Amino acid sequence: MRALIVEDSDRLRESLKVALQESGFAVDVVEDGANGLWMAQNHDYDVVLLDIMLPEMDGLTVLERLRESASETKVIVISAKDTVRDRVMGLNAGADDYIVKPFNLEELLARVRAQSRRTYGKGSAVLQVADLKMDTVKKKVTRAGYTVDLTSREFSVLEYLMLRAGIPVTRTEIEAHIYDDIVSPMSNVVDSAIYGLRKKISSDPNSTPLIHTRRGQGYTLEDRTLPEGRQ
Amino acid sequence: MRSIRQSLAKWLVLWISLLWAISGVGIYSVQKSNLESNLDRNLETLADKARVGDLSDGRTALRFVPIGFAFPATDPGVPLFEPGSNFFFQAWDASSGRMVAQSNNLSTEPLQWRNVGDGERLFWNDQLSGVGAIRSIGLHLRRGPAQGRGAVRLNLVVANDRAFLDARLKQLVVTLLIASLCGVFTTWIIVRTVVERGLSPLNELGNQLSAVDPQHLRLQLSSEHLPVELQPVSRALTNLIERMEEGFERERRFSGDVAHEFRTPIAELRAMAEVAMRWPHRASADDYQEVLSISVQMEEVIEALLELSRVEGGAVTKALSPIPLQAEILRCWEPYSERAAAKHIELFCDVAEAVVINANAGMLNLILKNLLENAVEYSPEGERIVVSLELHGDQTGWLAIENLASNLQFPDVEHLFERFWRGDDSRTGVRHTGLGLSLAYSCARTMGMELLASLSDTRELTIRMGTLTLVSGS
Repeated sequence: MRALIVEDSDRLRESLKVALQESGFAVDVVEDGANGLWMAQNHDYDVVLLDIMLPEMDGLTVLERLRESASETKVIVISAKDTVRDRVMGLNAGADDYIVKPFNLEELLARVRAQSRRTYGKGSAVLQVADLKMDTVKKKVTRAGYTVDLTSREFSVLEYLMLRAGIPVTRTEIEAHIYDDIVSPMSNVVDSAIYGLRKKISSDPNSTPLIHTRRGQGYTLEDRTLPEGRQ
Repeated sequence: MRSIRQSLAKWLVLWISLLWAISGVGIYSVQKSNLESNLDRNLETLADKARVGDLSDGRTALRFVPIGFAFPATDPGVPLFEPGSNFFFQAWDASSGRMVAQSNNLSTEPLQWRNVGDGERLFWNDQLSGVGAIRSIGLHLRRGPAQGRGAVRLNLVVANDRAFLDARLKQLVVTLLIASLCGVFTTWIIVRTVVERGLSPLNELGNQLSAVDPQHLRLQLSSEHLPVELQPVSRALTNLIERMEEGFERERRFSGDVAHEFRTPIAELRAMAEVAMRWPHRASADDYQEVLSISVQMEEVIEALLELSRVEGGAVTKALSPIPLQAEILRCWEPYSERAAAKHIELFCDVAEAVVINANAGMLNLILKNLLENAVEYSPEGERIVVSLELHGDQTGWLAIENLASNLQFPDVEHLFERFWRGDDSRTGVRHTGLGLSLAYSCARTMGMELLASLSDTRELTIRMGTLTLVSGS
């Protein structure tokens, strides 16, 4: 999952960045509205955290311009403005959610995760493909009832694949959504993560392989034993 | 509780009742006077019919010429002065005091003679045993010469029973009392109705005021149907409500501003604390420094608010004293000189060293510090701040602080002295509270001065303070 934080307060921006990173998000941060708009329009984010009172360009204008450019990116407004009028204005401008400062970090993270899931049409916090289950809140993965221990990075890659189950996901997309830093074209971090994942979720030799490689298209996570369309 | 309605009704009923009573007494007095006059006239008529004569034995006799008509309230079948008649007479010899004659209906007890002057007729009330109250007339009768041989002089008293007159008066009193009671009762009903109707506009005004929602005082009281006497009250109340609403609105806005001002630092503190607790390995010693900075920033806002409250609440000394202006400006510049140097901003103080003004030292210090801090904060790098004194005559002048404010727009100027107003809503990199200019403005007002801001086409912001009273140096 990749998130963008547009917040002019250095301290708050840094705290949010840490919290999202620790929750498995790849995070980009900017401190003004103009840069925030550019980033949101030119990168594929699962969710954007947007302050209202920003230098250069205020958050509502950023939001309106983002929606004018037909972007469907989920946007959560975080603002000190707490009146009903402010909330209505924010939601009418195209926000998917509105959180008033100061906020509970746990609640903010839950809302961020909920919006991220909706990006992929998922409502539940528990993802399932065949006998592979992932609880995105408890950060727990099981295969046929057995717990699978994953690193944070592996968890993020698997979550992304499960959210897009049945759809080929390119290496670039995985890099863009999972990794904070720019990944070198020669790097094999994605391949290494996929290799590790395959091993961990197929510990039983009889278990059905779920992660498949599609030549020239990337990877797909699906249960091929089922008839088509029954993922 | 005092009630206009009850008070008006009470006093009106009291005064009108008094008028009723006075009228009753007047009517009674006039009627009594008329009745007594009639009685007196009857007695006088009867007395005039008395004639003095001599009897065959030489004694003096008295007779009455028939009057030819019956007096009111007398029995026509009973002759005058006979038993059963209510008219009496008695005569005395004037010289000896011996009784000469008396009516047959008198008992042994004689009528009383009073001291009546010659040619005079005197009326009085008296009591007669077996009869009760009587009305008497006393006069002198004479026959023959006034003095000497053959002169006869009698003292005559003719009286009439007052029973009829007193009965009429008693009846009149009863009638007047009943009429008065009815009048008072009717008056009470009329007064109540009139007062009720007269005060109904007050009720209407009261109802309009009762309908005012404390949360939304915006209300135009309708004075259309109110009497002219209440229209100024209605207008004054409307103005009062408007002023109250403005005050409440200002307070609401202020409370909102204060809450808003603290939301971001509290959010920062909370987020930092939650991150440090959940992911301790991501916490660092710098976080404590940040917590300290946030605390200091919040403390500054609170201090500024308290200072503003003290100034606006008049809880500061307002004593004026002579202050060397240039030295004070340079002293106030000192705390900001380092930041100014970092931005390559230069202060140009065009105020003569000899200028001494009369001002409150504490408040002048606050004003100058806030104006200079504002100038340093918003001046672009490499610019200069000019402080100058505009003299108006020998005794007065205005202090002007001028600096380039590239980001300021013309509509912003009118908001400069508002609490928490900042040119940049985002508060990014904010070093001050947004209360400085507001505090300076309040201090100036407290000293009886003004702060005026203007922006030139070239974005030169000038804040002028005056009128300053110069003690010397002009």
